[in-house]
Order: sequence, then structure tokens, then C-alpha cells
Amino acid sequence: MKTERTQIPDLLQIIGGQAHAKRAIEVAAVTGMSIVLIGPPGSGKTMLEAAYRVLAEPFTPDVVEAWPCPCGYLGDLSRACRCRPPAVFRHQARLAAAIEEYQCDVQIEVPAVAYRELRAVGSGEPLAAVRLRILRARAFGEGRPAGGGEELDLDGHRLLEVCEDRLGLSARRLASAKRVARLIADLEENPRIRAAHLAEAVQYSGIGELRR
Amino acid sequence: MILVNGKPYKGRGKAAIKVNGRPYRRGRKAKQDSGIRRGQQSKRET
Repeated sequence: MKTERTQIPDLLQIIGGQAHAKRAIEVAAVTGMSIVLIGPPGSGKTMLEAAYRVLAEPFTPDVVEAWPCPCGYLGDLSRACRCRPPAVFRHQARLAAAIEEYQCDVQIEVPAVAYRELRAVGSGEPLAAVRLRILRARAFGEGRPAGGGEELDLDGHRLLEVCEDRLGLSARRLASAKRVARLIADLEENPRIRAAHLAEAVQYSGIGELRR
Repeated sequence: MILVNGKPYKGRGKAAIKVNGRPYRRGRKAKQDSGIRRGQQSKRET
């Protein structure tokens, strides 16, 4: 059977599901931050990387792609992980080293996709629309000195305190959450970082420091 | 034995952690895989 191939598929629309990961690469693409994609084989990490490189066009970010454990299925709902605990620790230590080496501010979990979500392929937001938002955010943040505009309001400070206590986020992770929150505010063209921006940013900071 | 196109299948290796599409390496392995040979200053020809 001959199929028509007149249109180049949209790099974002061909990825099924992964709404969370797509949003995360949008945020990271504003300044081309280094990112980590963690998920089982076949979940779409490499496709997300390709889309990210297009969105982050003027930058050449480092992208770390990793399985959650040596066999790849730790935490997967449909398959059992067959790694022994020491192997998982070793793997996560290597991953932590990679994250530190490449200073990845955005950590993205990419879980396996259900067929139901794959059926909806092609219906998501096109890459061009996301790119437009990113360009606007870059223009909004232009000229701001490094680390500028990262002042928090009282709610913001309180939220980070809670994250430190409950999630065990280190000073490094909290600082990176602030940097990411700045970009989320830029996407909204908001000069102030609000607690809602921080709450989203914390989701991309990984669960504390991985064990080394 | 597994045959692919009549030849024994050697596997394609797998990397559980990749950086910029290449397997993540540290230390001695990173040096070996960098493509720069011993005694060579850089890959660029001078």
C-alpha cells in the first residue's frame, strides 16, 4: 500500500502523551538548559530530545537520557524490574554524577505511554505554537542580568521551605528551582516569580539529590 | 545462535545512561572513547 508522505510530521505532535515532559522541555528551551530524561525503553526520550533540540535552537544544551535502573523498568507499572538493589544503587550513582557533571536544572520523568494516548497522536499542540511562546519569553527576559528577577514573595519563600523539609531538596536543587521558576514566569511574561511558578519548577528538580 | 542476514548477531550494545546520544563514560573509558589518541594534543590537525 502506498502512503502519502507530503507533510513532514510535527516533532511534538508525533509524541504520544507525555504532556508533562513536553511542558518541561518548553520551559527549559527558553534558555537552553541542560536536561535529563528518565524513563523506560520506548517511552519517547529520544523523540523528546529531538524536539527539544529544535525548540532550543540558538543553544546547544546537553541532554542526558537514562533508564531508571540497569534493566530499564524500575517503577514501571506493566513490567517488573529485575535488577538487584546494589545494581540499582550503582546505576543511580552514575546518573547522579552525569546530572552533576552537565549541571542539569531540569529533570524529567518520561513514563511508558499507554496505547490510548498513542491513538491521540497528532492532536496535541504543534511545535510552531510552542516555539512562538518560547521566542516571546526570550524577548521578555532579554537584558536581564544573570540571577536577576529571582526575588520571591512571602508565599514563594514559604513554599521552598516546605520543599526543603518535606522533599529534602538541597540548596543546589532549591537554587535551580528558582532559576526554572524564572523561566516559567517569563513564559507568562510576568516580571515577578509567584508561588505557582515555583510549585511547577519544583516538579522538574528531581526528588532531592540522588544517592552518590 | 541468533543470525541476522546470515551472520551471527553481536547485539548493538546498550547504554542505560546517554549524554547527547552517546553512552555516558567517566575516567579511563571517557579518555579512550574521546577519539583523541595518546600523545595527540587534539583531534584538529595542526
